[in-house]
Amino acid sequence: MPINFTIDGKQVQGEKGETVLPVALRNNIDVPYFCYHPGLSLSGNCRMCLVRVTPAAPPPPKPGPDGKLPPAPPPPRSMLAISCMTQIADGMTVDTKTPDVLRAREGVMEFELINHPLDCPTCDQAGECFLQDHSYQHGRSHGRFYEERQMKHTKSLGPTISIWGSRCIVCSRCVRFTDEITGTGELCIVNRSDHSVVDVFPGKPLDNALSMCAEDVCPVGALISEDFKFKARVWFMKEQKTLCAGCSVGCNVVAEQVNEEIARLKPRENLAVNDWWMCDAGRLSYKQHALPGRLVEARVDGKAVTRAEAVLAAWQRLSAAGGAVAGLVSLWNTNEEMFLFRRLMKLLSAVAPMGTLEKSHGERKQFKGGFVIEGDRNPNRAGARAILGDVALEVGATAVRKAFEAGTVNALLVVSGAPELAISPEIEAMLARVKTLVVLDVLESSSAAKYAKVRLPATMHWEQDGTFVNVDGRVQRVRPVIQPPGDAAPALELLQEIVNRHPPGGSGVLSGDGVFRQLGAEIEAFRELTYREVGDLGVPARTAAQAVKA
Amino acid sequence: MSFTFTPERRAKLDALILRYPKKQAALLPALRMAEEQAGCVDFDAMEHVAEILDVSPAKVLGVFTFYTHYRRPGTGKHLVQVCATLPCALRGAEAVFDKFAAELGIGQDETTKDGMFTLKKVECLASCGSAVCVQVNDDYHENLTAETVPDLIRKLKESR
Ligand code: SF4
Ligand code: SF4
Ligand code: FES
Ligand code: FES
Repeated sequence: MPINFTIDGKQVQGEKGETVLPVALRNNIDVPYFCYHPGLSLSGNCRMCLVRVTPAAPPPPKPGPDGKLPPAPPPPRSMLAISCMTQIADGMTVDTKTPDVLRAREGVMEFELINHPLDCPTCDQAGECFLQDHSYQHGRSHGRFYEERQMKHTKSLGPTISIWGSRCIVCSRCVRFTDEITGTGELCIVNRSDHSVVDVFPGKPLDNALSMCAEDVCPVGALISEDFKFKARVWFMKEQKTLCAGCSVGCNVVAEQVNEEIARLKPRENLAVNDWWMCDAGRLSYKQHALPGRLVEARVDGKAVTRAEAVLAAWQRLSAAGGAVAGLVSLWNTNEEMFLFRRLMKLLSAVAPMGTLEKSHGERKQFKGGFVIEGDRNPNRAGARAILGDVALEVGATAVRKAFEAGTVNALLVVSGAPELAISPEIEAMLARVKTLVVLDVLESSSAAKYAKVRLPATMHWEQDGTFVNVDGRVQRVRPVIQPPGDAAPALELLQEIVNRHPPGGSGVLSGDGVFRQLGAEIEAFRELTYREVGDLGVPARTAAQAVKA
Repeated sequence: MSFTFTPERRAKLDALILRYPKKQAALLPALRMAEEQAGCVDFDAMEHVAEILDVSPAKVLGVFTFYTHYRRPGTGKHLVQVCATLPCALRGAEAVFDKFAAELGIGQDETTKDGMFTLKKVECLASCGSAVCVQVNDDYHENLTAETVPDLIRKLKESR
C-alpha cells in the first residue's frame, strides 16, 4: 500500500517504512543533508535535513451512545523534524521552505562552520563539497564565533586515504561504511563534542579492497584520496560515464580527464550492478591509459605505413591464405568488435577456428554489505559467449593452436584491447612462427604485437565506444573518455575498414551504435537493442541471463 | 605489555555479558574492569576487550575516548580533578586550580615528571554545597581554598 502525503503542497507517494528525505529527493525537492546516505544506515546526527512536519488531522469525533459529540481532539502539532529519520505517514504535511526551516538550516550551518578552517582554496573537495554548496545556499554570510577554533589531526589513515580532521563534520558516514559495507570496522570517531574526529586504532590502518570509497562517502574534504590529492581542481575536469573493465562485474563509473589524461574514476550509482561502490584496484585501473610503450603507428613488416596501407595489407595477406586462417580476440574487446571480428573471420573462411585471449583469474571477494569483486578479471566473457559461442570461448584458443600445428592454418588475426593478457608459451610459440600475423593491439610489449607482420594500433576501452556484457548478463555501455594516442584507432573502425576491402569493396564505417544494431539483428542476446535503450545504466541481455552467464 | 584479564575478572565479565541482550553492550563495564586491573586502559587492553566482545578495536577506541572518566595510560598516581563549574567557580575554583598548577609545576591535562600528579579541570562533581570541590582519584576534598591546597598536596605526597 503506497503512502500519500504532501511536501511543499505537492502530492507525493512513498512506501511504508520510508522516511521523508528520500521521497523528497526522488521528487526533485531539494532538502540539504550531510549524514544521510542511501547506501548506509540512518544516523540522524547532522540536523541539516530539518523540515516542518505536520501529522494528519485526527478523524472528526463520532457521536457517543448518548448522541452527543465528544469534544474535538486538538489539532495536530507541527514541529521541526529531521527528514532523514521521520517515517512517512498518510496525510502528513511536510514543508521544506518555511521561514523557520530556513532559519534552522542557517543555524545548523553556523554550527558546522564554527571550527572549520575555511581552507577551501587548497582543499581537494572544493567544487564538489556539501559544505560549500549548503553554505552557499543555506548559510549566513558571517559567523558570530570569536573563540579559538579547535584544530584536529591531519594524518594518514591507511595506504589510500588521509584525513584533514579539522574539515570533518563528524557525520559518521565513513565509519558506517567500514562497519556496514566492508565489514572491516577500521574507522571510529574518537573523543567527544568539539574534540571529536575520525581516526583508526593504532597499528590497524584503513586497509581494505574498497577503502577508497570512504573518500566518496565523505561529504566534505576531510577524507582525501592519496591518489587524487593535489592533482586537479575538480571544475577543470571533463566527465564521462563509462565502465570499469577490471573484472566481470562492470562497475558503473564516472571517469574524469584533464588534458586527455584520466585523473580519477568514481563509482556511479547503479543498484543493479555496483550500488555506490567500486574496488580500489578497479578505481586505479585508469592508470593503464598512460602505460608506456603504446602502439601509435601502423607497421607492415616492421616499416611504418599509413593506416590505409596497413588495412589493405591486412586484407590482402589474410585473404591470400586461401582460407587457412584463424583468429583470436580478447575478452577485453567490446561486443561490437567481437561481432566484426566474427564477420571478418567468416568472410575469410567458413570453417576458420576462432578463440579468445584473456587475463588470468584473481580471487573472488564478497563483502559484508553484499558487494562482490569477481574472480574473472575480464569484462566481456558473457559477450564473447553470446557472440562467438561456447566452443570458441572454451576450447577456441587450443583449436587455433592445434590447427596451426596440423598445418591447416598459416595466417592468424589477433584483436586485443588490453595490456597484460595471459599468453601461454604454446600460443607465444605459434605467434612467433605463423607465416601471416595481422594484429590489432595496444602495447609494444604484447607478444602478438612483437611478432606481427601487419600491426595496427588499436584502443583501450577508455578511448572507444561499445558495450560489454557483465557476469549477470547485463549489457552496459563503455564510452570514450580520452582521445587515442597517435594513429591508434578503435578496432571497431579498423575491422570495418578491413572488411570493406572484401570485393566488391565498400567505404562505409558505422558508429558503435550502427554496429550494435546489426548485432541486434543477428544475435538473440542483443535483439533490437540500441545504445539509446542501453542508456547509462545498461539493460539485461534478451536471452535469459543463464545463457550468457560466464 | 600485552593485557589479559585475570581468570577471576574474566569469569566476572563472562557472567556480566550474559545479562545483556548483546555482548557488545558490556563494553563499558569491561573497560572499567580493565582499568581496575591495570590502573589504566591501554591499547592492549582495548584490543583484548574488543576480541572478547566481538567488536573492532576501533569501536572500543571510539567508546573509550568518548568518556573522560576512564584513566588513560600516563595518568599520574594522583589524578587531581578540580571542579570548574559555576558554584565552585564562584567560590574560587580558578584560584584553587592555579595554586595546584603553581605548586606542582604543571598545567591543565599535564602530569608531573615523577608520575605522581595529573591535573585536570572537570565539570560539576555534585558537591556544590561544599564548593570548592576537588576529586583526587576516588576521594572528594571539599571546601578547598588556594590556601589549603599546599597542605592537601603534602598529605597526598605522604600517602602511599
Ligand atoms: S571524515 Fe568525512 S565522512 Fe567521516 S565523519 Fe568526518 S565528515 Fe563524515
Ligand atoms: S569490482 Fe570489478 S568492475 Fe568493479 S571496480 Fe572492481 S575491478 Fe572494476
Ligand atoms: S541528514 Fe538528517 S540528520 Fe543528517
Ligand atoms: S559546581 Fe563544583 S561540585 Fe558542583
